[in-house]
Amino acid sequence: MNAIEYNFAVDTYSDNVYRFVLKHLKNEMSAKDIVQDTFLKVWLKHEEIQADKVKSYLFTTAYHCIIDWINKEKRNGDFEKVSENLSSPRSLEFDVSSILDEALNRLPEIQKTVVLLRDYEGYNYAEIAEITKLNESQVKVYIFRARQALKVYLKSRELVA
Amino acid sequence: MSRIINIENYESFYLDFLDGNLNENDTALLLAFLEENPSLKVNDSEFAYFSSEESVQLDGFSKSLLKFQGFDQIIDAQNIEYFLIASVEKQLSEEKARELQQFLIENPSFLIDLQQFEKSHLIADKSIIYPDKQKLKRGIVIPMYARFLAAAAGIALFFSILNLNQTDQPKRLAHGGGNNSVQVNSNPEVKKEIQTELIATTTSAIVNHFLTQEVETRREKLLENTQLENIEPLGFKSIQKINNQPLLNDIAIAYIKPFAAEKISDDLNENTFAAVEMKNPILSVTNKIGEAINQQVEFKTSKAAKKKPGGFLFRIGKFEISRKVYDNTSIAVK
Repeated sequence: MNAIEYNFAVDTYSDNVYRFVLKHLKNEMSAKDIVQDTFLKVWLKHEEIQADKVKSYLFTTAYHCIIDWINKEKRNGDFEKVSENLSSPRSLEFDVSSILDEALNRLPEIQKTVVLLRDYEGYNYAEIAEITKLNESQVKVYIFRARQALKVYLKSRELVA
Repeated sequence: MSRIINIENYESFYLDFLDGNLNENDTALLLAFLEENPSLKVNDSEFAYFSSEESVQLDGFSKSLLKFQGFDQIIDAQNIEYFLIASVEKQLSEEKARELQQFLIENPSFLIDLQQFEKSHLIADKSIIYPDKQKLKRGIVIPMYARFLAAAAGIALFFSILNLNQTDQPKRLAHGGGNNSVQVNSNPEVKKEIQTELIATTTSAIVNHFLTQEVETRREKLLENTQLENIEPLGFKSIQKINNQPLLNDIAIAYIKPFAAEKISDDLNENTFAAVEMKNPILSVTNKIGEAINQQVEFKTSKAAKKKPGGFLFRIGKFEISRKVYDNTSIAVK
């Protein structure tokens, strides 16, 4: 991958990576830092990366950055506070999008990861498995469990509304 | 009730084990299974980041669905959710999709569940964009020759500006002297004569008259209008460049046989044979650039005359920029 292809990847995928990271961290500054770190790592290895594989490489790198960030924040005890704040119901109004956001924030991180990769980026199970270093069966189970959780939460909020 | 754990379903047991949702009997079975199949054991550290602490207790999410064995089962009220999810995930075969459709027709109460699963599909908020894309981008590596070109262009500009303010007299080339060259069209008839001892002479009258005339006309004009009536020109040459500097107009010179210098010396003065000398002040740079890009690179400047600004020539391959300065009364040929 040359500089032109790398810059094209920035234009094409930086928003996607940013949304993916932001959904996990719920912290804009940290999400920006991770996106920057992700692209820096990809640039450092750009000569080894094929242009058609860069998206997968970006999400894999971003995913590992997220894990590192969460691990670090957990040690500091900050991540749970953020999660709690953002996962608490904000409104009784029935808005599928915002309710899904709430439901998503309640999912375990690995479920959130696989379902975001699935829904946001349209990756198939094999591609998600490659990014997350899981096997396809695990990905499938996590996605099914996430769907069930999202549906249950959605149903509960519909009943409240 | 304990079930059989095998290669097909152990992952679901393992996930429950990690989530703390596996009962004692199943935990024992799972551990025994993993002991028998150590290669299947997943490193716990892979799941350390996603511990069960944040897990949502899934109301109604039955263990039978979690331990679902495959899509070859008959759809019923116990496993319908698994098929609904598989439908939303587009994992069902056409046959199973038709079977599910039939089941939903017969059991419409599950249509609501299907709709809720469909709503669970997350849609990215495209309004969220990364704001600093330009900071992520990397400069395109500029080839070395392009840098040289930019530097050379800058230097050319600098010298051209510098020369505008110079008022030194241009260096004059004496008749028959100097290393500068006049490029002429090759003409076999004249070439032979040129190889002999020849001097070329020209005056403003000759040059001006020969700007646009045919050769024969030029010959006549030469005889009529110059003070060299007794001299029969051997031939004429159209001049394209002087000192590698192209000329705008077609200029011709006449070649004559040698004659007594004093005979023409009356008509000639310093300006008559003046040719503006051009030099390359950055010869080593242009040479290196030429080698780098495998193209001829030339840069020459001339000092300004009293009433004329200095000239310059900048050429890369076929691309050329120049400001021409020459004295139309003075062309010298060695």
